Order: sequence, then structure tokens, then C-alpha cells
Amino acid sequence: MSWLALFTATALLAVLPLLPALAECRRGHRAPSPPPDDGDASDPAHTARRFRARLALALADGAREISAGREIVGLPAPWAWPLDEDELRQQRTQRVWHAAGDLMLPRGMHFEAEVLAEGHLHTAPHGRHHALWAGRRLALAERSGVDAWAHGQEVEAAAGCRLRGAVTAERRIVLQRDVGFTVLHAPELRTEPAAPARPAPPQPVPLPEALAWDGRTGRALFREPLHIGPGHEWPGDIVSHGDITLGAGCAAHGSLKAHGELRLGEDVVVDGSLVAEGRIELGAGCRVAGPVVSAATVVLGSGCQVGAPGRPTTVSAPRIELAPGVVVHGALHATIDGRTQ
Amino acid sequence: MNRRPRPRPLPRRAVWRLALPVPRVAAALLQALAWTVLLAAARPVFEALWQAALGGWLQTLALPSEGGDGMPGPGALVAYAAAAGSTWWAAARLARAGERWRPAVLLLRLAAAALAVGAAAAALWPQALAGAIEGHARLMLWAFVLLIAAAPWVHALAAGLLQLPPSRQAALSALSVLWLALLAPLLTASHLALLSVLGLPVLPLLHLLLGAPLALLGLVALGAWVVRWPATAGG
Repeated sequence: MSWLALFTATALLAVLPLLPALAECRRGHRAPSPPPDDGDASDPAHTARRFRARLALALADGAREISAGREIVGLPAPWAWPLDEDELRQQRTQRVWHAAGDLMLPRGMHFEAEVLAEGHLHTAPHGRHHALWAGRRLALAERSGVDAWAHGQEVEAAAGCRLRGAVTAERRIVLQRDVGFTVLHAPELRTEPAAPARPAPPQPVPLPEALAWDGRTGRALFREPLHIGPGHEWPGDIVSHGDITLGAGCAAHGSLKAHGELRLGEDVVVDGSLVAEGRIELGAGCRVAGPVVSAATVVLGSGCQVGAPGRPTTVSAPRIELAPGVVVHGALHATIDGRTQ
Repeated sequence: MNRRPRPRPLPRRAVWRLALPVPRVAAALLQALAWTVLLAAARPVFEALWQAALGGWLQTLALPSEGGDGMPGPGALVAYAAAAGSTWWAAARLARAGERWRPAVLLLRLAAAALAVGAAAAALWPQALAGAIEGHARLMLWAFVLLIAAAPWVHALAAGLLQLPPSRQAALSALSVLWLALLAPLLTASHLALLSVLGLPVLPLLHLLLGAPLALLGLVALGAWVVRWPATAGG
């Protein structure tokens, strides 16, 4: 009895610190795969395209396996799934699935390897996937998740999706409410439902007081928090050692940088970039042409637009919150947590 | 309003231009120093507690405090060799089950190799293992002393890198020291109990899988858990 008590106590105490990690393993949460090589830094879709090319090569050679001995399974029809008994019992598969046409994923399965469809690809609600590639539209059903990467001509993520890996699209990514993400990249990223049309703001007027432009750096520097009232415009960059607050309808023909927080009222237009060490918050209907970078959080209000068609840019911060009706052209990069409201 | 002069490109940021966060690093190192002083002062308490706990378990299990011989007979050596072979075979079978079992496969292979090495050493050079059981207990306790002493300094470096607030660094060090202090006598008593039953051939297995590596794994897991606490909970 004493022996059993000793071994039990030792085992319990030894395992105690591992419990949070074991619980996370049981839930199946995995950290997003790190970029495999330098190609990902400039092209987030690099991993997806490279895998697609490797698979095409393997299929052309008549190979039945791809790296690490993973079996490739060709699917003759979108609904025919030759899952074996073990896969059905465990509700998970480690094989690579490929369809020449459209594909609808079955309910209740965890796809631990890549799934590729040359046509449309539809996932099942609550589905979990390692990686997905669609030649046409990729539709992620409610509360489905992507662990490593997903790519399609167009990607639609329904409410409650968790996109832990990089999600890229050739044309457009559409996100419904309560979608979690880390890296998104497409010519157009849009949150739904669309924002209602806003009345045009009144034409801004020049600031009544002169800003002290620094001739050497070409910007106005403020060592204290800066507040600019609504409806003004100015030509140049502004840097503040504190917070910057802009009233509604302002137009900045330059960039803004704050060592504190950066708050923009409704319908503010910025031709340059927004950079802040603290939180960046954009009111409804704001338009920013350049990058939006924060060391804390970026909040884009309803109907905001960042970048422009043909002029992609980046929104980057540890945390990003997107209201409905936001349009971003380029990339969203949330290093900790991105979320649609 | 002045017109904006022609802008100049901003200089690129380089690593050498980044400033060392001296206050944060100094606070983390000072906390580690405070832990070291505290632990040094508390060393007699730790020793007394460990001695009482370990002695209590040895007495309860009726194990000799000096260790004993632990040399297996020829039959037992054959059994160990068979156990090593079976473990290796099980690892090979598990390797076919898929990628997700790879960590378990590696652990099984390590266990099989450790068992084989222990059996070979006991068969070929038994004199070298004389007194190894007694030495093992001392070695285990010393390993735990070193881990307890090093943990706050490792946490100080991690706090600098991961920007952990001082309160969370203190919580991490306190949890780690407490866990190691509780585990040390229990794990050592378990090792002595296993050695008394199974003999010296399991010594490499205990060292490589269930000794200091187990404590290190727990420390890493504790660190990962504390780092992931929500910001509001840990300051």
C-alpha cells in the first residue's frame, strides 16, 4: 500500500505542471505553423502554392505518397469519402486528400493533413483542418478552424471560424462575425455585414494655427499629447510623444506617429501611415492609404477602408479588432489575436 | 501654416540602435538575486524537510538507507535484455501508427536503449556499479538543489525576453521552487524503491527519463503555463 502511495504521489506531482499543456493537446489547439522559409515573409501564400506544386509533381509521377510518408487519396466525387474504419472510429485522418473538382468535407472529421480541391471546397460546421487549398472558392463553415494555412481564389469564413494559420486568397477574403485570425492576405479583405452608406463629411478646412514643421525631418513634432478638432486638414507628417486625437472629418495629407495612443474620429482621411506604440482606434468611415502599425491593438471601426485597390498595404499589431463593413486591401497581421466583432 | 518641406526618408532601424531596457532587466536580475539570498537562507529548512520526508518514506517502505547491492543475477539480466528488446519492438510498432505518435516512439526507443545499456553494464562491469544506488540518491538531491538555485535566474532572463511583469516573474519562481522542493524527496524515494526491486540495470533509465529531465520538463511546462496567463491575472 505504501509503495502504491509513493508512486501515485510522485506521478501526480510530476504530471501536475503538464496538465495545462495536456489539456490543450486534448482540445487540439495547435500553434500556427511557423513560416518554413524566407519565401513566406514576402508572400504569405508561398507555403500553399509550394505544397500545391509539390502535390501536382507527385501526382504527375504517379506517386501515392508525399513527404513524411503521407498517403495521397484522390477523390472521384465530392461526396464519396473512402475513409477507413480507424479514421471513422477516431474521427480523424492523416492522409492527404485531393479532388479534381469540387469537394464537400464530411461532418465530424478532423483533417490532420492537407485537403486540396481544384474546384470549390466547402468545409463542414465545426470542422478542424490542418491546411486547405481550393482552386476556386473556399467556404469555411460556421466554427470551423484552420491550423496551418488555407488558400483559394476566394475565401469565405463563416461566423465563429478560428483561422490560426495564414489564410490567403487570389482575389478576396470575406469574414463574418466573431472570426479569429492571425495572418490574412488578399487584394481585398472584407468583413460582413457591409456597413450602411455614410453621408459625405463636410469639406475640411486648414488648421487655423500653424504647425511647427521641422525642416530637417519634414514633420511636426509635439512633445505632449495632441488634440486636433473636427473638420481640419494639413499637409505633412505629425509625430507626438504622447497621444494623438483627431476629431471627425479631419484630413491628414501625411502620416501620424504617436508614442502613446492614436484615436481617429469618424470619417477621417489619412494619406500616409498610422504608427503608434499604444492602441490605434479608427472611428466609423475612416480611410487610410498606408500601413497601420501598433505595438498594442488596432481597432478598425465600421466602414473603415485601409489601402486601395491596386495599392495594397498592411495592418499589423499584436491584437486587431475589425467592425462589420471594414475593407482592407493587402494584409492583416495579428501576432497574438485578430478578431471580427 | 508653413508648407511642408521636401521629406527625407526615415533612417532604417538597426539592432544596434535598439536601447537595452535597463530598468526592466535590472528589476528582473534584482529579483533573481533576492530569490538566491532567500533560498540560501532557507537551505537548512529545505534540508531538514527533505531529510524528514525521504527518511520517512524509506522507513515506511522498509528500504535500507545505504542503498544495498542491487546486482541482478544472470536470469534477471536475461529478463532485462528481453524487456529492452520488447520495448524496442513496441516502439517500431507504434512508429507505424502515424506521425502523431513520434514523441512516444522516441521515448520508447530511449527507454529501450537505457535498459540495454544498464543490463550490459551490470553483466560486463559490475564492479563499476558498486555503491551506485547510494550515490544516485545524493546525485538526485544535488540536481534538485542546482535546479532550484538556477530557476530564478532563468526566469529573470525569460522575463527580460518575454516582457513578463515582475509579479508574474515572482509567481513563476515561487511555483517552480515549491514544485521542485516537493518533488525532490518523492522522486528520490521512488527511485530508491524501484532500484531496490528492479536492481541496478534500471539506473540509466531512471537517470535519462525519470530524473533531472523530468524536472526540467516540468519547469518548462510551468513556465509556459504562467507566461500564457491573461494579462489581467498576472499583472
